[in-house]
Amino acid sequence: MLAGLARWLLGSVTFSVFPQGGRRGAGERFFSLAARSGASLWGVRRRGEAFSASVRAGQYAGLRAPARRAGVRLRVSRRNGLPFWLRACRRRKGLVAGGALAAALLLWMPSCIWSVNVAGVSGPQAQELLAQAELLGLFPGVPRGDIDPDLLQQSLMRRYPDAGWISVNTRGSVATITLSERVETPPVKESGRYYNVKAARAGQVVSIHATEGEAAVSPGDAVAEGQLLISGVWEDVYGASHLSHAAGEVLARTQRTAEAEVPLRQTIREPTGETVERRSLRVFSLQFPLTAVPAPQEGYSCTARVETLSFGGVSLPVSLYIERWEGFQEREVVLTEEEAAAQAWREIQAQTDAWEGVELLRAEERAAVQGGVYRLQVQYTGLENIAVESEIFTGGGDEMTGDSNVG
Amino acid sequence: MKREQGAARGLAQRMGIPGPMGGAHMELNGNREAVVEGCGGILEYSEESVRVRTGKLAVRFVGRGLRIKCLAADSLVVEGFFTGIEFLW
Repeated sequence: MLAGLARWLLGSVTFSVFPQGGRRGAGERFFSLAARSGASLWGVRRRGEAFSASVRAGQYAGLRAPARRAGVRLRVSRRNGLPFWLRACRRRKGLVAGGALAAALLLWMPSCIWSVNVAGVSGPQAQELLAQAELLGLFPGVPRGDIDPDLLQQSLMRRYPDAGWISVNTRGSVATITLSERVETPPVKESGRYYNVKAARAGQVVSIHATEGEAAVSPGDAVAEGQLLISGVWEDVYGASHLSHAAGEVLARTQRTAEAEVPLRQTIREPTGETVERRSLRVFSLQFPLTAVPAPQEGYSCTARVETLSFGGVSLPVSLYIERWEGFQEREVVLTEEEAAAQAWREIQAQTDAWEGVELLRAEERAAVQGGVYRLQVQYTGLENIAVESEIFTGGGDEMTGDSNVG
Repeated sequence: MKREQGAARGLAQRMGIPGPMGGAHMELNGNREAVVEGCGGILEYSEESVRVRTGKLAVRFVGRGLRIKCLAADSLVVEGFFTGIEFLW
């Protein structure tokens, strides 16, 4: 194998030997003379009266003298090896340039990140994560040396405080950002810390269920915000005070107000039906426009989407970027009171949907038009758990400090 | 020069080292390959017989599908299926 490689690097010539005038033993004599002149021959074969053999390219010229002396005629049948290949390439400059370019690309490409994948989330969240990563310097085409996965991980964690964990891993030219959702753990009852239960909102107590501590209010009592509901301090039969972690549920009837204001004169956008679609091909970090349409200036809204090619679950650095511009015109409209009321109720509904754990019992609405604005105010009576824990701070020993509502 | 070669040959014989017969050194790999060092040229070459000069001797390899694998100034490698080797004076 090593000899084969050396022969290829130095080049070899395969030639045929024809004895002239039918002289017997001329071929054998030629090979003996050639070997004696210093030529290294291999693959010596006999085919009838003719012979064939191979010799190093540089030694072929030296075979003419032995051939003349032995009375044989030589004919080259094949040239092999790097020197002949390079000579052939000299005439094909484009091929050489292409080969050199390909070699350079092959050497350079592994040093860059060409694909950024997101695992753990999909859709718009994944797109947002990719956009954040791009702002932090991770995008297709960035040199791998410029990426510090640990630093990037920390920066992304700061931008996504609600995420449980974000990891950035690079493997070859592929970077993968994995986002793990935070798993809410049940609260742990801490030892050595004591709590009271207070009212989160003002209201009238409907029921009280203390799982720990002593109830400080009774059903039917009106309580103010911050008032003690269940005490974490209790006395035993001997009159000694003890601290505990008070807990429980206090259902109370509370009042909440939702408000909405809707101007009767509004400017709305109406689609004109005109659409402009612009496409471009993104290869690595380069963008090639596929349509020659300029981007519309005013009176258009734009939505864009990216279709990335993937192979075997890995996103390739080739994507189609499609912009869709939709024309619109602004028009001033005057809403009727009914239309304004419907819009206001939609806003009110959105507000009440955000109230968690509140059972709405009754609603009292007040609507009025003042200064061209429709104002809607709805006062809700609801039933909700108003119990919220408040820590009792103790400053050394059993002496209590802070928290003034410890009964 | 000849005296020195003779002395060297005598010394080799006294030390039990086998000397080259006819000035050539030959190695056989089974009956498939023969490496001949110190050969003086090819006298006959066909697929059935290869005869090479080795100093005062000539060695003839007889067999089937014989071919010269490598040939240099003073050595050659013959391969094929040997059925006999003859030493000719």
